[in-house]
This record gives sequence, C-alpha cells and structure tokens, in this order.
Amino acid sequence: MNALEVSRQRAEQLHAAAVKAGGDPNKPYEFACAEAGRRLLDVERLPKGDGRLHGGRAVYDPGALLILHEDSGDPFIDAFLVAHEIGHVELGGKDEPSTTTSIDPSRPPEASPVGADRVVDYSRRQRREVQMDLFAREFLLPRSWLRVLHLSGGASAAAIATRLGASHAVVSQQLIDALLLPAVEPKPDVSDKPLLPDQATAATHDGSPYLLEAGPGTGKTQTLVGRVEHLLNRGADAEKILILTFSNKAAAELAERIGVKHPAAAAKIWSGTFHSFGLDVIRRFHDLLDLPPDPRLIDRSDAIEMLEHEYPNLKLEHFKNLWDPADILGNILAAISRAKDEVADETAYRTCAETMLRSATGPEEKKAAERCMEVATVYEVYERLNRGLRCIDLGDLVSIPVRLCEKYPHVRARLAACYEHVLVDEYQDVNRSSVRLLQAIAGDGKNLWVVGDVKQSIYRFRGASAYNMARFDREDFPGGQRGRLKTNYRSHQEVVDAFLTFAADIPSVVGADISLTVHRGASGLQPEYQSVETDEQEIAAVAEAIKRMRAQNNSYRDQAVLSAGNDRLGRFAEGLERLGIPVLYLGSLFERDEIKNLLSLLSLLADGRAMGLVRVAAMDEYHVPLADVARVIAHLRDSDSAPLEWTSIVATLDGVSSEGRAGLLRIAALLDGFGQLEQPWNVLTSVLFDRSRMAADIAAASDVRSRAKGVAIWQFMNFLRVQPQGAGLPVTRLLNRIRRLVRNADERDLRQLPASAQGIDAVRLMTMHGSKGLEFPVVHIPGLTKASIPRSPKSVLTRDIIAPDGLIEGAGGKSLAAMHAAIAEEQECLFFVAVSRARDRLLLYSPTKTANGSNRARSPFIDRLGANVVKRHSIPVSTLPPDPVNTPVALSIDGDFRVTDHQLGLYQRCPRRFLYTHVLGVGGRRTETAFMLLHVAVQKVVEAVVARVGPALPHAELEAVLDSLWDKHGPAEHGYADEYKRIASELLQSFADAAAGQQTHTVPRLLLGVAGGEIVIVPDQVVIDASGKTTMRRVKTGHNVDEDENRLAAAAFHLAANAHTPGCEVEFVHLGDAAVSPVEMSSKVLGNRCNSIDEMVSDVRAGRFSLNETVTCPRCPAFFICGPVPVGPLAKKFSA
Amino acid sequence: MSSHIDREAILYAFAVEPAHDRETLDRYLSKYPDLKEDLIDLSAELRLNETIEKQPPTALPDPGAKTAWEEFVACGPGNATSAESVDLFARYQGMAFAALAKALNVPRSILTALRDGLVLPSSIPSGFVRRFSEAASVSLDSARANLSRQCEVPTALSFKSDTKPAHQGQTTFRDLVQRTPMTDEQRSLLLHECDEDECP
Repeated sequence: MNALEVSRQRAEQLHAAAVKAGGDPNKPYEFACAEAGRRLLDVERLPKGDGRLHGGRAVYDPGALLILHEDSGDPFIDAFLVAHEIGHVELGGKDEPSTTTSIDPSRPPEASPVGADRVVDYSRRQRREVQMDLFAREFLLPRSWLRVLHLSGGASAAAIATRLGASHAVVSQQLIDALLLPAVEPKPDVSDKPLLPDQATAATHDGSPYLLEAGPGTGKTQTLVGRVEHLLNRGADAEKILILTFSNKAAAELAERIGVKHPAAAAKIWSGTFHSFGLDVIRRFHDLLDLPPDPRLIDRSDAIEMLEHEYPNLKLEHFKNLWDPADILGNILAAISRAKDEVADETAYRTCAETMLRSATGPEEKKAAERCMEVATVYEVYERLNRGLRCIDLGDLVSIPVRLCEKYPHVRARLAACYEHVLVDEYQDVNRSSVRLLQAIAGDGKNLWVVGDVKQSIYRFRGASAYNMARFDREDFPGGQRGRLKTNYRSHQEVVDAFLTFAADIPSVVGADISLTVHRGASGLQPEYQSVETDEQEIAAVAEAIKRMRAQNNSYRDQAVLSAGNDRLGRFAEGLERLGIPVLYLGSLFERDEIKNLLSLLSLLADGRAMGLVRVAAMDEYHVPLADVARVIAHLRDSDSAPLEWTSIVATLDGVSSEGRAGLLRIAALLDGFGQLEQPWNVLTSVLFDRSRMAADIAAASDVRSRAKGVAIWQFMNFLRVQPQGAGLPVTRLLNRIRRLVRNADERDLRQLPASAQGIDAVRLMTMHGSKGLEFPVVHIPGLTKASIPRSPKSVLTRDIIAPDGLIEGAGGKSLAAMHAAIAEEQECLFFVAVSRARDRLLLYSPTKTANGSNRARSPFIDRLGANVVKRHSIPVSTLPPDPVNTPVALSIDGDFRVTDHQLGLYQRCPRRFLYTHVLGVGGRRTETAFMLLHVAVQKVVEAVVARVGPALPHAELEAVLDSLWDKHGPAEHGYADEYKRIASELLQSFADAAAGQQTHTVPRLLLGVAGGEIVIVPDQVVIDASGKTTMRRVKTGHNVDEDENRLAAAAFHLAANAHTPGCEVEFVHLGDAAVSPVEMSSKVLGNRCNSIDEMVSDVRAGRFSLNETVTCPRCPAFFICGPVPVGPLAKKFSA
Repeated sequence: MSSHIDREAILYAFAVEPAHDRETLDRYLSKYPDLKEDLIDLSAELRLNETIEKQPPTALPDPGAKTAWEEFVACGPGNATSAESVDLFARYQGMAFAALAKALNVPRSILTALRDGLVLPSSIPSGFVRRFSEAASVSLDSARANLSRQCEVPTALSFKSDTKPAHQGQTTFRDLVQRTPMTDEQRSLLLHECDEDECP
C-alpha cells in the first residue's frame, strides 16, 4: 500500500471519529475547524494576501498552535485549506511549519501517464502536497460516505455539491474515486528483513565504481535500499544522494521504502528516471541552452504534426508517401530518437550517412545510405523547428545534459559536487547517452553503485545494450569492481533450473558464472509444456489449467498469463472471460466497450449527423431499435442539421417506434443543455453522476468484469481531466487526439492498472515486458510457437529505419548487423524474464495448427529450458463460446440487391465498416488534412475529364483543369500551397503518362450478375490504343498498398469489362506510385474470386458484418462507434 | 506548495552580499549555524575572487535572484540580533504561546504578527506593551524590544511562493486588529489601547 493510500485511509478514519464526536460533515468548515480544535489548534481566517500568510493561502504554525488561511470567499475552499494543513499535522509534520501556496481540491490521485507528461514526475515535495490535497478531500468527503450518499441515498453529484457548498468538480472527482476504484484492503507492511551476507557485502562496497549483478529473485531492490541506508548511517548527506531508476514508479517505490526508516532523508534524496533527472538539469541550466526556464516538452504526436506540415517541402524520395505521411514520419522520428540515445546530433547523423554513402558498394547498401541521408534531412528540419519554438523532445532529455556537461566543465563540476553518491537501478537497460551522463556527473566514479542483470536486458529498441554492462569496469569506469548476488529467494529449484539452463546460451552470458543457490529448495513439481491444436483450444487449455491451479490453493490473483504481444493478450482476455475466468486486463483503453460508449456519446456534441447514436442506442440503458436509429440518421443526412438538433425533432419524427422514441429522448436528456464548447470531463461527470446511474450500477456490481469497467472509466476520466490547449471544439480536439494517440501507440501507459486495482481477485494478463520486476506463484505462458518467439530480427524491424553505420557505439561499424544481434538477444532476455517470474509453477503452451490447418512448430526456447520440462499433447475438454459482437444483423433487402465495386472492396477490407457506411449510411467526414484535400483536387480533375472522347489530354491541359479546381477543392490556403500543388501536378503527370498517345472513350456502366444480386462498375477511364485494343481503368490518386489488382473488386471489374467488351484489358493506375497494374488473373483464380463474391453477397444479405481490426482502425470514421449495434430488424434498399 | 528553507538560496544570498567581511559572515553564521562549514568555505572562496577581480555587480537573469534578494533583505544589517535583547518568543512555543495569547486576550495570529516583526513598532500602543510585559513577566523595555522587531520570516515559513512575494512590509497595529477576526470585546479593548496612544 503506498503513502497516498495510507494517508487516505487515515483521513477516512479521522472523518468517522469526528462524526462520532458529534461533528456535522454537512458543514465542512465547522467540521474541519472542530478537528483542528481537538488538536488544540486555533484556526483563523485572514484577508487574502495578509502578511501573516507569508505569501501563501494557508499556514501551519506549530510554535503558535495555529492554522491561518486566507478568506477565499468560498467556505468549502476554506475548509479544504484547513483540512490540508491538518494533513500536514497528522502525517508526520506536526513540528514542521508549512506554507501552502496552492491547492487542487479535485486533483486525481494519480497523474495520467500519457504523452510527454509521463516523464515529468512529481518531486518529493510535490508528492507531499498531492498527499495533503487527497487527505483534505478524503477528510471532508470520504469515499465511503459518498458511496452511501450516491448509492443508497440516490443523491447526484450536483445534489451533494449543493448540500456541502462544494464545487461539482470536487464532488465528481471524489465520486470517480469512490465508485470506480476498487477499495484497497489494508495490508500489513512487509517488514524489512536484514540484509543477507552477500547482499550486505554489496551494499557496503566502498572505494571504487561498483556493478552488482543481481539475477531474478535475488533481492536486488532490498540491496539497493540497504545501500542507501548504509550511506545514510555512515553520515552521507541525503541531499547528495542521487538514485536513477528506470521508471517513475520504481523511483516512488524506492523513496517509500527508504522513507520507512529514514523519512526525513527520503524526502531529500533525488530519485527518478534519467529522463526526469535530465529535465531537472535542463531547467537548472536553461540559460546556457537558450531555453526558457520550463521548456515545453513535445511528444511524438506533436512532432508528427509539426513535420507533416513541412512534409511537402522535404521532397523525400525513399520516404515518399503522398497519401498520408504520418506513419513514415513516425518511423523517421523513431530513428532520430535512436540517434539521440547515442548523443548523435543532426550533423553527426549527416556525417555518418555521408560516409556510409561514399563507401556503399552494392545497390542495397547505396539505398540504405540514401535513406539515412533523408533521415538526416528530416532531422535537420526537426531540430530547426524545435529550436525556433524553444521546445525539446524526450530524446533531448538525456542527450542535451550530456552535451552540456561535455561542453561546460563548470556545469559538470557543479553537478558532480551536488551528488556525492550516484546509484543506478536496472543498469542493463541504460543506453549510451545515459552512461555518458553518468560519466559526467559521477566524477571519478568511486561512489557510483549500479545494479543490473544482463539477462534481463529487454529494452534494446531504446538503445539499451549489453555493451554497457560489459564495459562498465573496463572502459567506462576504469578500476570498477563487480559483485554478484548468488541466492534466489523467489522460486523453487525446478523453476530456477529451467531458467538458468536457458540463460546459459544467451550470447552475452556464455561462459559466465550465473549459478544460484535456491533458498526455497525443490517442490517436486516440474515446469510443464502442453501442446494443443488450435488457438481456441489453447485458450481453453489455459482456462482449464487456471482452474486446476486454483483447486490447488492458488487464487486467481496468484496467477498470471504472460504473452509476447498485446494482440494475443486481448484475444486471451476475451476468451478466458467467455470461459468464466475473471481476468484483470484493461487492454487498449480507448477500444474498450464502456469507453467507446462514452466517446460516442461525447461525439454527439459536435457531430450534426449524430453517428455516435448508432453505438449509444445499443447500450442496455437506452435500447433503441436499429430501424429507429437508421431512421434518425437518414433524416439527419438529408437535412444538414446542427449538432444535437435531433434531440428537438425526435419527439415528432415519423416512422420511429414508441420504444425507440423513449430511448432516444433518454439519450437526449443526458446531453441536455450542453453545447459544443463544453469540456468533455464536465459533460461526462454530469452524465455519470447526475444524469444516469451508469457509475452507480458499476459500483454496485461485485463481479470482476464490472470492476475492470470501473477501473477503465476511472483511467479514462483521469486522462480526460487534463487535455492540451489548442484550436477547435474541445470534443473534436479530444477525439482527434485519441485517434492520434492510438495510431502512434502513445496510449500504452493507459493500459497500466492503477495501484488500487491490485487487490482484485482475477488472473493477471500482461506482456512479458510488463511483467518485469513482478512475481507470481503460477505463471502461464501461451503462444510459444516458433514464429512468435524468438521473432526474426527482420520481422521486428519492418518499420524501423536502420541507423547509419558508425552511429551506434559498440556496434562495430555495421548498424544492421548490430541491430539484428541486439534483437536476437532481446528476444532471449524477454523469454528469460517471463519464465523467471514464476515462484512455484511454470506452465507453457503452444498451438500446433494454424487456422487453415498447416503445422506450427513450437518455440525452440522451450527445448532450451532443459530436460526437466514435462511435455504433453492434449485436447481441452471445454470449447470457446462464440463472440457476441459478431451476431448477425436482422437485415431484409428491399427490392433488387445492387452494389458497386467500391462497396464490394470495402466489404472485403472490413465488413463492419461496410455496415456503417453503406447499410446505416453514417460515413461522416473526417478532419481533412492538406494531403487529403490535395487528393480530392486531383480526383476532381480525373472526374472532370472522364467523359471526354478523343486524344488523351496532355499534362499541360490537365494542369489547366487543376488550376480551375484548385481554389475550391485543394489546400489553397495552406502555407505550402505551392508545394502541394506541385505534388498534385506530379500526380497528374502520372495520369497523363499512363494514357499518352491513346484515345479516350466514353465510359460505360458495367453490370456483373452474381448469385443474389448485381455488381455495378463505372470505370474511371477507357482508352483505346493505336492497335484498337480497349483498356478500362480504375484510377486511384494514392498508393497501391493492398495489391488492388488482385482483389475481389478487380475480378468483378475484369469479368464485367470482358462481358461488355470481349478481350478488353483492365488496369489499376496508382498516381502516387506512377504505376499501372494490369489485372491478370487466370480463369481458375477468376472462378475462385467469383465464388468469394457470391459468398460475400450472401453474407451481406444474411446481415453478417464481422469486425476486422487492423492498425489503421483509428483512421476509420467509425472508429469510436465500432462494436455492438442496436438490435431489431432493418429493411434496406441496395440500388447502387 | 509548502516551503522549506533552501540551503542553496542562503548560500546564493550570501554570495551576492556586497561585502564578505567578518561582520557579514557572523551575521549569516548566527542566523544559519547549520551551514557553518558551507558559509566559511564560500566566504573564503569569494574573498579570494574579490581580491583577484573586482567586478561591478550585474543584474542576474536567474529566478534564483529573487529568492536570494529576499534572503538578503531578511538578513539585512538592521536585522542583526543585538546582544542585549533576548528572543522572548523562543520561550513561548506551543501551549505556552497559546497561553500567552489567552492571557493577552488576543487571537493567536496577533501574536504571530508581532513575533514575526510584521507590525510597525511605533504603532503598537503602550497599553498593549504593558499588558505584554505583565503577561510575559518581563520588563517594559524587554517587552518593547521584543515587540519592535524587523520583518522576519520564521525558518521554513518563507519563500518559493508561486503567487506573491512573501514580504509585504510592516502594517500598523490598528490595521492588524481590523484585519483579524475576533470578538467585539477583544477588538474594542485593542482599539481602545490604540486610541489612548493616538496610534496611527
């Protein structure tokens, strides 16, 4: 239990005692003053700015037994100030004066870990103020009391706020915590055991740099804490101790553990990540860096946006994407970030790339070097933009301090003087820039003490390298010594034997002594490997094993399922739940059902066409039949309505059932009175706590699924609370930001569970990466096929841009080879981490067949665990029930069934999107980027010339058409409009080239009869060459990413074209690629495609619209509504 | 945010003093005995620098300068504790302080304002000084000396305010009384004392 939770519980107890003593919590100010009185403290209210407040809002003066606070004009805030000071008194600060300058009564208990904010951690002092704010809120409105008021008393947040004179925000925030977070059960604190001999030797090392090798379960953290205590006992100045950790969470935990015995010292020790330390250094020396005192930290999404703007001007060839350059820019930014890990600036990058280009021998090497040259170009522009805005990015946080120290000896001397003792946790995960920073601040290194385990180095992609561990005592800190912890206290002999046998072959470990004495001895239970046939059987097998383990006294929470990737975890979470196993797994927060419901609801505030209704209507609470939703949507589509206009017409709209009308009116009531400018957090707190019982229902339910829902909404509300400022409507900005976060995977940290969720009795699901540092009595590791682990370096690097040769220190020149070696080793480390989490039982699984029946071999890693793993093949008894999301829609086709080839293509890409776009007609407009407008303009030119008969138009004439359409359709207002127009002109050049010397002809309307309907195809261009051969074309302005010429729509086009004009050719022209792809399918292939089209048509008719999740989902207009659809029959015309 | 005195700010304040002679050093040493070693080291270093290069003072662009200035003001020569005046308030801590306020029939914050030198000495009515000397069992002179303090912020109640500067100068006793919530009876007694002396 962390310090915040301890103080919260203390506040709750005090509240209860105060009520018992006759206090009335409905009068918060009197209530707080009475509590002060019980401590013999007087409370006095002074005018704002009174000298006695010493510039603060409240003061605690222990010498005078006095709490002074400003007269804020708001009795609740006054009460809050008093309670905040009581917190100082109660929580260990009884003898220390304090001045409080700011309070945040509605602050969430944990900061939301998104974007750049995740590196900026609270300082120890700030943490204390956070603690007091939470104490104060809890004392005035304890969660338990609010639960009673809201759940049993039925009081809304607004009613409670009025009753107490508090703001809606404070009450809402407290209700969020009270209703959505699981209650934390008080746990006895783990008593600190004395250090064992080898730990003590390590903790008291003296006189040289020291690297402690600490394998899994050897008591690494305890030794680190022991080291700090040793230093303090020896008289070290706490302010001169610096502890660098891998995560803010680890830093906070260390501070807390040290604080048990040395509370005063713990507050003075600087502990945090390399990044937050770097930020601290940058702030201290900002003037030397020509940066503001608190420079803005930009994250990946900001950076992509910034570079997107510059993209047309960058004129990249290898990284050309004329459709949407965001992804490519993301990859380039990753390469830049990797360079910063090596402290390589844009000039160094350019130099390496140039050297590489000069020495390139074959075309492959030349291409790789040219790619690096282009990255250098982007790097230069990016740094120029950052300098102009005086911003920094995450990669700068360590590299800037390194350069600063290396350039200014006095900075280096100052930092070295500040920190006499430097301790580093997880040394195997530090990258080169971090080592250089250490060299700068650790002076001669005599007081540098680091701990790590090279076998657990799983952050190679961030530039961590076994290289740093290897050179610690030689090149980096000469004269350094090494020690090793040799006893494992965590696992049984069988588990330790398995992971050590595996580790012996890890390249950077080979030959080293990694043996461990096993404190717990043998259990007699070997690790097990079970093979099953299919993926579904694997889920069932794990479910059965979980139940079996549970029968052997391992509760659900004692068991963890670890997987290499997030995708598999999502599938497992769903599958296990369907088999009745409670699981604790948030997954991608914004793709969870309850969050999408809220987002869809919010979207209604800004979307005149009310797409979000499709999803909200499907919620149990509203239950609007599908036909009614379709009716409203159709009405809005035709009437160009303003957002929420539907709420006023729904009462009278014809063709809506009475049940549907009632549901729609209930939805309307949720949003009544809110406008487009409302902040999303305010809207949703009102929806959750005033206008519905959504939160109350979740709080009242006791099942794990509801608990997980609550935690997800809590996490979401926490995220919503602080949104970056920007132009546009708050809701639109929020939704766009979420799309970007998901697309760039910048929301990963939101998958973490808040601390209070740890007590829930459910199986933990997490990635192998996420399991680091944890332990579980039972560990299940499914999915251990040859293809999934180890992954081949090539498959890992598909999106990565290889650094130029010579950039990565220790790579021996060739970056590609070094990256391959690093990835291969990282995969081994990852598996090592996973298997070494098990205390008692280790259970491994893999399926042996793919969905289409081909064989899948098991991972070679299983066999490397040694002969003691019991292997068996079995078929689980239970089977997985079907996924309810794929329940068919009760669709009846009205009249003939006719769809276009485009619609067919969309169904093939994603049936669910076809449902939204073509059945329900909700295809809303997306935010249009300049690139999208450019393509619209080119498309308009193609459309304008399609009906022409005669010689194909040359480029110059197409440009003239473009000129006439540009202002209306193109990004004419953009700062780089000319560059965009140049690109448009290039695309039209490809279009002209494709038809050069040919005659264009009238475009026919083609029909292809299929079982159950017809496909309608209107080509974009028909050309006839000199020999009289006809070619029909589909012209696309973007890139050919999906092999369009091989898809079902191409087959339909080909068949229909040849039925119309026998012997004619069919081609796809992709202007972005300047390429023409003919449709060349054998008659057998065409036959197969025809059958697929028939099946597809029959699927549509049967209402089957399955979901096809891909990485591009965040770009889909239906991203937020995608999922459950309302029930009931729907009649639909398909007349194309 | 709550504040704790900051070692660096004190050293910084010391560093920007115009002179680093014995007197200045003593002044700091008596105020910050904990920092004895640091202060002595720093003064040696600074004096060395001062003899090598005498540079005119320049404006400091650093936000630390503000904090340092406050320290500098707080440690001004006028603030040096004279040898004969004993800090009476040091004896009145906690319950004793509360009892003293009660004996004087004033809210505790009136007394903290006096303790912290927030009240213009000339504005303190003699009637109050007399009552103070009686309640604290000290001579009138000692009472007057203890109530005539320079603006002083008790350790750790000081700076790093995000909002406004901590020192706002001294206020009159009458103003203090008017700004402080108290019973009518308490107020009329204190105001009566002010009126008697024709205090501002």
